[in-house]
Amino acid sequence: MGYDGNYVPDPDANRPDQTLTVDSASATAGAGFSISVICGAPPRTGVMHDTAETPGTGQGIDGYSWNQAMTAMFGGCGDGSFGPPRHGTWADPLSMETAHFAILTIKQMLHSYANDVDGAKKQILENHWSGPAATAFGQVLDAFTTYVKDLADLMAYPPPTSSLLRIAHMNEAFCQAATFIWQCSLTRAFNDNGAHDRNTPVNISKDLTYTGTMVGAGRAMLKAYDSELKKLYEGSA
Amino acid sequence: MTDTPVATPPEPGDTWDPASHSTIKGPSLGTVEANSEAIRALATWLKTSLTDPEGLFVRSKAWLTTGGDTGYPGRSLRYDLYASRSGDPNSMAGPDTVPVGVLVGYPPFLSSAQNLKKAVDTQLGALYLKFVEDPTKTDMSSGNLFAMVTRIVDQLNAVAADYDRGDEAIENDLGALANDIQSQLQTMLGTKGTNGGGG
Repeated sequence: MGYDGNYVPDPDANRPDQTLTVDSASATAGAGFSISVICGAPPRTGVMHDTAETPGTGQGIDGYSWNQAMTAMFGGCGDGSFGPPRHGTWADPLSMETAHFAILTIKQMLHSYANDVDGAKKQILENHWSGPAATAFGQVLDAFTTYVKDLADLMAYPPPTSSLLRIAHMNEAFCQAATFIWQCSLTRAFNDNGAHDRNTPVNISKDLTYTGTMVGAGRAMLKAYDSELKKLYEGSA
Repeated sequence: MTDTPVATPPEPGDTWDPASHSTIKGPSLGTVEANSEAIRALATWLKTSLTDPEGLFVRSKAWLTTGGDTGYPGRSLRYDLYASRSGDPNSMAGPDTVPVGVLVGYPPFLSSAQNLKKAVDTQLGALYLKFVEDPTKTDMSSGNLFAMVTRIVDQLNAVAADYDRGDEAIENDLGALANDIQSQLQTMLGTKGTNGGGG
């Protein structure tokens, strides 16, 4: 109803479905993440504004509001105003990517360094040098190269089924998908005052499958993200 | 239905090939007439590796700090800021200052993200401290790689100088060096399971 009591048709009632396809591609096999999202019109039946309370206890991620699920993945203020990753308390997928390649590159450099020293040692020992002094010399360099190689291998990474690169692409794809869902959930009724209907129908396919509402989609993305994070450094999926 | 495809092509940083960017210029001993010269050449190479812009130490530190001359176009990790703030990589500088990928500003919301960040930060922060020259860490027991190489350089130069004086002089030069390195190795291996590394 309008201010004057006259009937005002819901501007979202006949809104067609909106579709977004995000392909956060990677040159590394298995690291990219693709997601397709279909959003229906907001039915104006759900929660429109999350409170700032902490997640409900005992429910795990199922107790998270939309804002809380988004904050857990992307950071920020926890008020739903998420968006492209920023500085400060925002998640930064590009720094995850840097960490991924830093680990791989430094590992290889350490091994190259140890191999170079080892090659020089062999060249010297094979040049007609033997006896206790040569043995002591060899032992020093062997101990050193072993130390360097073990230092490299301490970075036991990446495990076979995930990587920081995968996490980065997942975060990037979810961020774009969530931004899209957020936009689609905005009701355009004049008296809704910028409300985002958490009951907005959402269908997700490709690397994540989900059918339900906006708030459920947020939880589904967070569960998938949480599972991938655990796979990487906690040894469980 | 309105379709809004968003294709995100791999960023330049995503196509990085570690194998083709980790080559280090090795020691060039050439064809030497005397082992003393070869040993001195190895010592010189090791010493140069500490400051060579293309060497292990400078490039590794660049990866872990500003990005420097690595050629990699990604985000800076700034583990130098972590270390200088706390002196201990296990003490996080905080996501407000240096985010490393995964948010921890709201740990009750997602502990796995906090755990991941801590594991990565601990691992790379500790590694950074292996490469830096630290006046407080000059012996083997520190496990500092810079200090270790510096000491080996000194001993190899002494070996080269004493090469023609016989085994006993060289054994004295090398002294307890191998044992010290072995000891450090055992220490490192003994703590291998507690550094937060995954696998």
